[in-house]
Amino acid sequence: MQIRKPPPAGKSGSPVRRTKLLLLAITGYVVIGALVVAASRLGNDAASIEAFFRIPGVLLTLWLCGVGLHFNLRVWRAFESGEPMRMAWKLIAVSATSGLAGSVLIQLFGTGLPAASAAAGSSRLAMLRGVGMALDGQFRFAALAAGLFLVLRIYRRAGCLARLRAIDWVPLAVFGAFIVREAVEAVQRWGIHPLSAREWMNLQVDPLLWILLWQALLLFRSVRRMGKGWISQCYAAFCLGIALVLLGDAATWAGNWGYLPWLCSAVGAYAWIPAAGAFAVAPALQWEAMRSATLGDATAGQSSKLLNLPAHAPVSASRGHLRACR
Amino acid sequence: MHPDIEALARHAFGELAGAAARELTRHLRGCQECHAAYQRVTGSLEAAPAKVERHEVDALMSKLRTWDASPLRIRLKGDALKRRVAGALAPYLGRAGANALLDPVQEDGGNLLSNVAPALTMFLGRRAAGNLVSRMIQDSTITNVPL
Repeated sequence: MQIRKPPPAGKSGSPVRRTKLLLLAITGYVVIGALVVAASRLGNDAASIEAFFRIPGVLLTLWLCGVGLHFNLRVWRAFESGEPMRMAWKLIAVSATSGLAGSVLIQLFGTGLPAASAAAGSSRLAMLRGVGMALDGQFRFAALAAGLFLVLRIYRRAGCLARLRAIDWVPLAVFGAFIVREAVEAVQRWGIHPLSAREWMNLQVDPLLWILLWQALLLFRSVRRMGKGWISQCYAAFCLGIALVLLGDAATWAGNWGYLPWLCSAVGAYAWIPAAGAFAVAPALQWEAMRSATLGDATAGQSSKLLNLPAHAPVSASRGHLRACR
Repeated sequence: MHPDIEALARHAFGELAGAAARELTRHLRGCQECHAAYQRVTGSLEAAPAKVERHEVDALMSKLRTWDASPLRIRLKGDALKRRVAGALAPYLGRAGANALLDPVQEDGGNLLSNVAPALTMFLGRRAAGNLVSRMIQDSTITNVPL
């Protein structure tokens, strides 16, 4: 077999560069956030945390949502009409679109920005924020769950779908208990006063998150069985994103009910940004895999180095190894 | 005698007729291995077989014929063949995923594409998988160095 020379560095705007940029941005934000939290703990300065989480956090979230949507659309269009994955990625792209639209509405009308408040009356403000929450909540998660359902079906058809392990039922049971408890609390409150729109939304979102957790665990077991590759990394990123969304959701709930100090609650809410990052990285990795397969070894060489993936060298597969992987 | 991948693909596209189609259908009912291979071929095209363009079918057939004529099939067999192909698939599907896909491949590589191509098409799309398969075939036909 001919051995090709490694190609020059990736061109500007290539998926390799964008994936690297996404990973750098998220890592940088996490590190700076951790430093700000640590510093404010020492000095007990709540304002610095508020400032850190608000404006840079808003901008980064919107950017990550935008980049994620961009790659989602590219992946969706790269699958041809009639291919099973096309519908899955279409639904994932719908989820990303809904998430971006919801984030824009929430950030514009939910954070109390003076310009936005002046432009819309208080009732319209609440309505727009509610629409944003629905788009970023129910619609986004329902579309994502539908997309991942199709992905899991394709995994099963390809013979790559793994089974849940006994330990996987622990988080499912814990989160299930959390949903039941939340529902019971809502019913109790309903006896005293009517539930707010936000409470109704939470009641609908959490069961969707439970479905997403189940899907993420199945995908996680399946990609672990397949080993490190672009496809596995892509769906592993979705799993990470879902886990972080659940963490953020649980921390917000705990903070609202006073189960955690506000600082821990703020750190829990901080998980939403790495979650947005994971949802942006996932389609970027899928796009990179498709691009590299289409163009050849050229981009594969660079990406393998960047993501520490196996290179195009023959693997040492004995008969025993082949059997063990089944 | 087991049908080759070209016959399975033609059957999947509805190009076989009469006695040949009946014989193949009867064989698929009785042979689990061929039935599994046929399922894989049809699996990736299941959603819209009618939308497959004529030139795409011709291109696929051309690739399959190239594979049948490839010297790799004569020179490389068994583990050596699987190692070569697994090396090309691992960056996409992972090592274990690639090996699992190659596990049912026969010693002479006769059913290689029918095992590999449908799964690749599912995960990477027809266009990207087609190019990857083409390169695998090209690489195999210029192979001169033993592993």
